[in-house]
Amino acid sequence: MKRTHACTLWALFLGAGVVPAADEFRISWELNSDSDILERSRELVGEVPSGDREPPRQFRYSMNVDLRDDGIAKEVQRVWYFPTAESAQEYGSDTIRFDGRTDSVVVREAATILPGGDAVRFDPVDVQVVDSDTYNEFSDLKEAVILFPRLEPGSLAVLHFVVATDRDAMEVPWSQAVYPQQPFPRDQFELTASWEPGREAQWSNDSPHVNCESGESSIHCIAQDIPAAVDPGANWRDELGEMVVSEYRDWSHVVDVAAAAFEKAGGESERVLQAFRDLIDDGMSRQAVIARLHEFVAREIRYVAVSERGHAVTPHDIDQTLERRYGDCKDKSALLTHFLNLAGIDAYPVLVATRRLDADRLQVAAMTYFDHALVCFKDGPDRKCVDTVDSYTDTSQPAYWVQGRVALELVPGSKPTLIPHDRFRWQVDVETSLVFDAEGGQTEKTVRSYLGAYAGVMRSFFSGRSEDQMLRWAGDEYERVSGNTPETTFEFSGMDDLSEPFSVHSTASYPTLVDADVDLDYSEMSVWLMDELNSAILGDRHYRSFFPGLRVSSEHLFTIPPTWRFDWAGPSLHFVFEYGSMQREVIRDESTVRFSTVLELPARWVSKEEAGRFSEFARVLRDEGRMSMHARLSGAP
Amino acid sequence: MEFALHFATCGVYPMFWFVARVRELRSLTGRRMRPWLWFIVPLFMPAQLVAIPRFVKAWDAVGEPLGQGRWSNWTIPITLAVALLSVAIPVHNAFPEVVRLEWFLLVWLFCWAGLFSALDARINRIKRALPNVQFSGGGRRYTVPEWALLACLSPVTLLLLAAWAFENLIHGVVQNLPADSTYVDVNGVYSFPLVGDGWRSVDIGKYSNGDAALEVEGSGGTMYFMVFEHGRGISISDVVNQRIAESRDVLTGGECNESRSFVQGRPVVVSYTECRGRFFLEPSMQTVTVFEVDDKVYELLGWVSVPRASFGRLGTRVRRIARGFEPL
Repeated sequence: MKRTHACTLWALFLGAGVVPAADEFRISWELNSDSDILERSRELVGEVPSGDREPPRQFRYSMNVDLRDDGIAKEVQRVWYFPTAESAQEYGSDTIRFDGRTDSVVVREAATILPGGDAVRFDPVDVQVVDSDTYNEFSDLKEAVILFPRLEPGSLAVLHFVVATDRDAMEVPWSQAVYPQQPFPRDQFELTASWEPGREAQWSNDSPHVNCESGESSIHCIAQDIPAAVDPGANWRDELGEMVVSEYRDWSHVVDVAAAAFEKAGGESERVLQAFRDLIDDGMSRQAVIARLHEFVAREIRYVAVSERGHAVTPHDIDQTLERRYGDCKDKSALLTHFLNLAGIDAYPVLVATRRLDADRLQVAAMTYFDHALVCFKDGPDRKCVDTVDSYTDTSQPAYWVQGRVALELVPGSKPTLIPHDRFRWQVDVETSLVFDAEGGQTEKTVRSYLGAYAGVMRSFFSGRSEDQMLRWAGDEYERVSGNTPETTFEFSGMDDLSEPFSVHSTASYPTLVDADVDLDYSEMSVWLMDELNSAILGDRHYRSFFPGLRVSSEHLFTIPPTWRFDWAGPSLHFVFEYGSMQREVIRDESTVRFSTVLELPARWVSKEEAGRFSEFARVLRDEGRMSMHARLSGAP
Repeated sequence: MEFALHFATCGVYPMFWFVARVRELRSLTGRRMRPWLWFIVPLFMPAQLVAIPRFVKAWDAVGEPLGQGRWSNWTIPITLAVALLSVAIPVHNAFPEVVRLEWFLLVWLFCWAGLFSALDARINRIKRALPNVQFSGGGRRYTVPEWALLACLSPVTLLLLAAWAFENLIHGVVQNLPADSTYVDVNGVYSFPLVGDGWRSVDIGKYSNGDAALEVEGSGGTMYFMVFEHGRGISISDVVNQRIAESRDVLTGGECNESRSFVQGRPVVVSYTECRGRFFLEPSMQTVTVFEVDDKVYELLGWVSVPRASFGRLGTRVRRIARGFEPL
């Protein structure tokens, strides 16, 4: 459920890639200029290991970066081997990434070598340029897609290109991260970077597969036989070895550059002042001011990814953003920062690496890590952060997808840190009342309330859906979780008021559930709690993972008619473990039994060694959701 | 005959005996005595300290003129003996684990019956020496109700004695277990603490139907535990529900509570259920401790049923043992 929401949300925010015309960009083709790579690749055909299956193998990867005063030249060679039709289907194209504003590309070779040794060259007319990396709002990267022709099992594919970057057109200093380990094996890896004497460049390598030698103004890194990375998960940047080359001196340099870019977004204007005055009333509390300004920027400034034409890092002018009523996260963050500052709140923009949770992995200062921006401010002793592209989460906490992510505050002297995360990112309160009637029927009323960031996920999931769609989802969800299909009605609350939990109310009737003429021997599972616990079952992991925290409070009140008298109910639960706890209290009288269960699994890192134990713990808790009771038949009242 | 009456009636007969003998005393001496008050003398130790010396003295007064000699020198020993035997019961109730109940009752009945048989013999000698006195029973030494009482209770007493003797003969002690130690399963599956002393493993079947893997009884036979191994397809809840249903049938006014927790440091569920109620008027407790390891469910079923005076102390001991049952 939560993962589904996350994907849906991003899809809603980011939209699909745009396909610009290829001839808008500086891409030239010199396909006869490097016959050597074809010859050398042909020799590799005989080295194909037997029994290779998917994924494909990369025989060779090399990158040579030349940092000069007037620009940057990056030469890349890649040679692929496709052992099966499936691998060709899945990986049968390659991409050339470049900045549409600052870069020019020269393709020196793009061809398929058939198993027999014949070469089939790529036709430049077929190149497609896509704007696929709209997730990253700190880049204007384009991708030229090379579809290798006539691929068949046993084929090789060769790509050789040079990307030249015009330094005068660059918004910010250059930096790039490279990940030697990929989902496919690499036989040869080579990276060379050199810079003109007098230029400063930082580099780092923490890949265990790569050895680097550094000279006075160069590095040369090589690796052989790098195995494929196995299922590194969504946060693979935190887990796989990384090489970074950067022209930033230190983190202060990054902060200065980014802060200067945000300052370019402008300041006072009559339109901005008037908008601020319209939003704020006299006597509003500080919290109310923050909530009002955030709500305006999040909901009334439409989100559009507009990081082209010199706005990869630099926000658009806030007056323009306000006038157009749209912008990306940088534009919206710049506007909210300005609004909050006008309200006397010391707010500042913060760069966020939404796909990184480990600040210690950022070994070299660079801008390349960051892909998002939000706004933080001091709130008493704490720091609070709000996300301007999130219009569904209460301002008391940031949206779930930035919680715990690596961030760089744009204030002097700051270094990479983490956005605060809730102890329990997923919080649900479930209140269920089950009333048996004298005929053995049962009426069940349940209110599921999603709190904090979870409420934001639910609101975002339901935004734009019709009432019929919401009811259909609620019915399907009820059937999926409870396994029952009774006559059920649903209502929703808290959709618009962010300060309230988002709640799903359901009423279900079971005409004859038990035999009313014998003792009541009944048990039922705490199904919603158990369903939430499924998210804590991590399964086998090859890398550590961050568990974001789960808290479920579940109250079940069973009521019976006077024809029965409860004489037993249980069990009470006292499960306390290193990863969290689940406690249940059972209170019984003759006609009612109340089961009060609280599950608390705080946010934490789970190492790959712990994943099995953690999952086993969650699985055991999930299986202990049963509530049992016994009532003696006491005759007619 | 007197001994048999006192023995077979499990010590109840002296209550009626006192009433009858005092009624006789009243008719012989004309003293102002209330026979029905003497009914409580065997039950109430402080009353014995006053009543028995008076009783001995009164019969001396009847027998002495008939040349039956005086018993005054025996007044204090007789009074102390009756009082000590009366106190022995509550003392055993408070510490039932010291002597097994069956042994205690046997010895106590022998002493009690012997003491009153001696008194009876003395009184009968006096009564026989009395001229022209006709006692109830029409000249027979025992009345019809006394014969009826003897006829009814003797088989019951004999049957109980035989059953107890038989049980002890077929179910012997396997091993005495060290005090305040930990019992560790030979197969390395489970362990539990043995709180206090006097624990011993006994032959399988003494307390179970023969399906237990282990049976352990506490000192004096006041409490016992059984270990059961349940195969695949049986869950912890199945075992608990079954035991709770059984306790509903066995315990009067029974109340059960189940709680579940983890074994220290391991996500292994241990269920502990405690059912408390009365069993033949005595406060009683059944404990059920269950866990699952390698698809097998292991159960420690505990039981204690003792007089109220010792229930708190021994119940705590049983609870500590039951809660300590865990997988190795």
